[in-house]
Amino acid sequence: MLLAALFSGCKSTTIINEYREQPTLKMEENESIVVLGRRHKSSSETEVDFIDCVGDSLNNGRAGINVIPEQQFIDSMYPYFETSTAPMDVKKLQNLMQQPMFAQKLSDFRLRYFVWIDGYTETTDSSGSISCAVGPGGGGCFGFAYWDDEANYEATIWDFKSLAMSGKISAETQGTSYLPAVIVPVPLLARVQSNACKSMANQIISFLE
Amino acid sequence: MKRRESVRQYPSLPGILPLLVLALALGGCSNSINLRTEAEVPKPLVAEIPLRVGVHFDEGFRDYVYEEDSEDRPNWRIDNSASRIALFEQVLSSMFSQVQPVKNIDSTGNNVDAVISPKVEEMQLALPQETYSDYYEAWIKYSIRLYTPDGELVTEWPVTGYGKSAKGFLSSRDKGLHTAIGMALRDVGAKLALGFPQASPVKQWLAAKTTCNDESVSLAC
Repeated sequence: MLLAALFSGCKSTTIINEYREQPTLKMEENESIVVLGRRHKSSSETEVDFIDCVGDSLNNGRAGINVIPEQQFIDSMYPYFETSTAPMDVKKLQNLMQQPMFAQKLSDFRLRYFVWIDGYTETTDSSGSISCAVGPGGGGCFGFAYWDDEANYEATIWDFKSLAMSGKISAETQGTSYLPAVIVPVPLLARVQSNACKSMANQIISFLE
Repeated sequence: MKRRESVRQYPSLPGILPLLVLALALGGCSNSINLRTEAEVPKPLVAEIPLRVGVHFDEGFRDYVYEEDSEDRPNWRIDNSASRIALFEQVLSSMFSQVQPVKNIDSTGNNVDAVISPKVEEMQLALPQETYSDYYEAWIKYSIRLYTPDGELVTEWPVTGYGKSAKGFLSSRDKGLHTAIGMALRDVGAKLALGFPQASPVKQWLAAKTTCNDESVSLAC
C-alpha cells in the first residue's frame, strides 16, 4: 500500500493556459520554426535541455515540424540573438528586419514562427534524510527523502511573416519525488520538467493545426 | 644454471586505496585554479564599414592573465588570452572591409584609416557558493581605443561582457568557469559588433571618415 501510495504520489499535474491572437497558425511544408530560451534574468534562466526537449517533441511528434536547433540558429544569427542583444518584443524584430543581412539570413532559414520560452524548474520543498554506510562486509543506505518540484514556463509565439505576436502558452507543472532507501536507494521521480515540456509541445502543435 | 626472473612489484589495491582516497579528497577540496580557457565566437552577421583598420594588441592585452591569491581564492590563474585575441580578430575583421595587424599605434606608414587597440580593464568571477546562486558568473571589461593613423586618440569606448553557467550535478568548478568566461567573451563580441559603430564619438568619426574615403567628396577633406 505504501508502495502504491508512493507511485501514485510521483505523478505530476500540469495546468496549461493559452491566449491566442490568431485562432490557428498555418505553416507551409517547407517552412520552419525556432524554439529559443530567454536567459536575460540574473537569478534564473530557461534550461537548454528544456528548449531541446520542446524542439525535439515538435520535430519528432506526429506534426513533424521542421525545427531549427537553438544553438545553430543563435550562432548563425550572431550577434542578434545573444542574451544581451535578443529582441524582447516584436517591434525590435521589426527594426532588425530593416537590416538586409539579418532579413536575408532569416529568409534562408525559411523561418515562419519564433517560439520564445521563459521559465524554469525548481525544487520548492524537500524533507527527510538518508544515511549510507560502508564497512568491510559491504554497505547500504537507510532512510527516506522527498522533494517537490515546480516547473513554470511561458511560450510566446511570434509570426515572422506578419511580424506580430500570435499567442502565448503557459505550462505550470508540480510533482513530488520520493527516495526510499532500504540498503539500496530507489528513486521514484516525478518527471516535472519532462511533463511540462510534453504539455507545452502538444499545446504548440494544437496551435499550429 | 638458475634462471633469474625479473619480477616487478606492483602495490596491491588495498595498499594504495587509502592513498587514492586521500588524493581524491584533497583534489576535490583544492581551491586553487589553473585554467586555460578556449572559446569560439561565430562570425558576426554585420555590414562591413568601408574602412581599412589596423589592429594593435599591445603586450598588456596579449599577456593578460587573471591571477588572484587570497584566502578564498588561493593560486587562481585563468588564462583566456588565445580566445580573447581570436575574438577581436574575428569580430573586427567582420566589421571593417580591411583589417591588418600593426606593430605600433602610430601607423602612418601602414596605409590604414584608423587603428584599434583593445585594453583589458577588468575581469571578475563569481562562484555559486559566493553568491548563493545556481550560477558561475564572469564579467570582462575592455576598453576599445580608436586612434588616427598617426597615433592620436579619437575615443575610448568601454564594453563589458557578462556570462553565466548553471552549476550542475557533478559538474566541475573549472568547467563552470570555462563556460561562463566563454559566454562573457561572446557577449563582448556581440556588443562590440553592434555597439561600437553606434557609440556617438565613433559614429561621428566613422561618418566623417567614410565620407572622406568616398572619392567623389574626398577633395573636401
